[in-house]
Amino acid sequence: MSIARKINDQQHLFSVDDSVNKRALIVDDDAVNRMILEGMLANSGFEVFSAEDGQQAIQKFIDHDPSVILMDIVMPVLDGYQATEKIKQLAGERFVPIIFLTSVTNEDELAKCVKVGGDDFLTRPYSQVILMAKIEALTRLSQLYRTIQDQRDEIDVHNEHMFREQKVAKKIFSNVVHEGCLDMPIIKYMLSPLSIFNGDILLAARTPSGGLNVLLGDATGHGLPVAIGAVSVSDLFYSLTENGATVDEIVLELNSKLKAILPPEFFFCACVLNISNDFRLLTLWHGGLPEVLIYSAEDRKLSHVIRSTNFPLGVVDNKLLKTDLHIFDLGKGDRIYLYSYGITEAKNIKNEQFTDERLLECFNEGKSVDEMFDHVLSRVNAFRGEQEQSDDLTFLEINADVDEAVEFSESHLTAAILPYPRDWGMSMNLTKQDFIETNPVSILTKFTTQVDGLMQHRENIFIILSELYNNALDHGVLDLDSTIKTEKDGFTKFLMMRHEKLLELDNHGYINITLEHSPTAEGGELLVHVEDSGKGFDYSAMDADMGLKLGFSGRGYPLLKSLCKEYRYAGAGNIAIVTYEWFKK
Amino acid sequence: MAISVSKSDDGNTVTVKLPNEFDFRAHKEFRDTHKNPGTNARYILDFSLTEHMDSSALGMLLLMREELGNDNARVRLINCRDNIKSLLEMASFHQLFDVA
Repeated sequence: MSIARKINDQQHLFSVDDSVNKRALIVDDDAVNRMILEGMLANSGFEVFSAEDGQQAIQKFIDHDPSVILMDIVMPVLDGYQATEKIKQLAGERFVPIIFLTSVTNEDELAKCVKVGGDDFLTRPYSQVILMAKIEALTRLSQLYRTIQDQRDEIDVHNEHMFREQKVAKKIFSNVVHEGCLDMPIIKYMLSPLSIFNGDILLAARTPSGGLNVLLGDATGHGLPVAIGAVSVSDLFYSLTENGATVDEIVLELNSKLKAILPPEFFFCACVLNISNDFRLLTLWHGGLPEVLIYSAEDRKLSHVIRSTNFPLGVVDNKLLKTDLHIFDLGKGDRIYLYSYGITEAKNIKNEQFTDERLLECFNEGKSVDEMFDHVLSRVNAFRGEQEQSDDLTFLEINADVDEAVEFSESHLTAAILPYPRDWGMSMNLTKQDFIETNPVSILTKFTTQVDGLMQHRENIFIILSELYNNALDHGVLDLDSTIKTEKDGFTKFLMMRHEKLLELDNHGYINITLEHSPTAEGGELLVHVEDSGKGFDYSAMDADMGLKLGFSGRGYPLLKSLCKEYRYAGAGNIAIVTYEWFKK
Repeated sequence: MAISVSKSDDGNTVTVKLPNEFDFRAHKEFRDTHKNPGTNARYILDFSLTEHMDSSALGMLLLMREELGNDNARVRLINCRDNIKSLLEMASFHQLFDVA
């Protein structure tokens, strides 16, 4: 506010303000000379101070802070040159005009007046009119000087303040928009921020079942609006991932949030992807970013180039947003590449862009997967040469290698804050519409882990519920054959069949999930009872070997068996019963 | 920045010729082109000079659409080069604007 006021004042700068700061210091050893000047300046409205030599002048300058000084040269004790030098030194950054009044006519002597810091000189006999005109001109200059200095000081204070606030904001920002598990060895990335809050956002988090969710966003513009959007995106992404939400659920949540909070010209081009816990299945939603690339480790070439077919996040309402998902099987060690427009729009010295053609060429040279990341970046850098970076540049590689994906420990989990019942039971009955529209596993996991101490067992709870629910749905209600999954591209096929069968399902299909929790001295016991409308199976010969014999698709069994105190089937094989015993960590 | 605006004789069709690089630097000038739209105003955005555009330009287009009444906005994008078209398509903007 005060800066605006100061700037408005500028229009008055060029007329000398009569009311303020008219103080003159007259320095002369001749009493008559002093008297003449004193009278003249007093008549012009100046408050007048006098000094008889240079030494006195310095003291009077310190005491009275004059706005203009009239200085004689030849004086006892300290002459005008020395006094001027000292006064200018004391004045520092302030502009105090000094006019020499002298009988000296020697040009060298006059030049010296300016050299020691004088601002003008007049030789005696002088014209009163000219002297007053010079005083007025220099006073005006000094006022301009002061105003500019004041403004500069004020801007400095504001800058300092803003800088501090940005530092704090950046700290808060990086706490919320943290990197999640980007430090996993299977992830390589480069982020080069253009401003404190950059336009690109890169997030990664392990899912409760041990898979990986990644989000790359490229916002329109930079700065505060983008940062606010990024905070929401990050917050939602991490909490939804933690609760086991699917890619399309995450996309819809993010979109409705961003649409609600951002002005129309701000939005996020984004890609949200999930990699399954065995790192063999990629599910991807793509809204407005450049092509996502999958490079085959075996064939040393691109196996997929995935173009965006959706709106970016925050452009249209949820009902207009398509959640088309791309689903691909991944080979071991295949690499997935995501990047922001900064890569394809990187400019060289001739203002040409790198373009997606040049980028795709990098992948056409039969390089091994291990070389690819550095190869692409060195190409981009070589292209750019000395040209300055004009956009945020983000480049990400994910290695689909389950062996390299080391255990990720989650240390930031927080337990429920409010007391929560520990002895309870609940039941949920699900039918066709629920199978299609809801994700009961994430709802139940969220609910169950509110029990004090159970939050630390969240991954296990999620795995148990998700295995049981999916088994009941896939092999019970929908009667799908899990051996399809072992075929080449089997996952994709399996998911498509699952989708079709779901739509064909009649109204008799159901799954009933019952949970019972009871506390023990060291923790508690959670009983999960899942019944489906399927025809069941012969479980009489079931043992721990079964899962292993069945290979990957039967994995759920030995996994649950190892996690749970009890895992058995009942009824016609359409009822699964699991008891999970847990201890406070 | 060189955005030039021309109006048809009846004043209903406004043709806006966009600059060589359509990005955030054109923000103010672009916004001024549709500050006081007439009730029948139809806008033609001519990209014939435009070689590059960035995502903040997409934002400006979106803002224009909103200011002209969203689904009621009549905005045509003409003479788009392939790279511009591809950028618009990646963000599904061809569903919001008439792109040629």
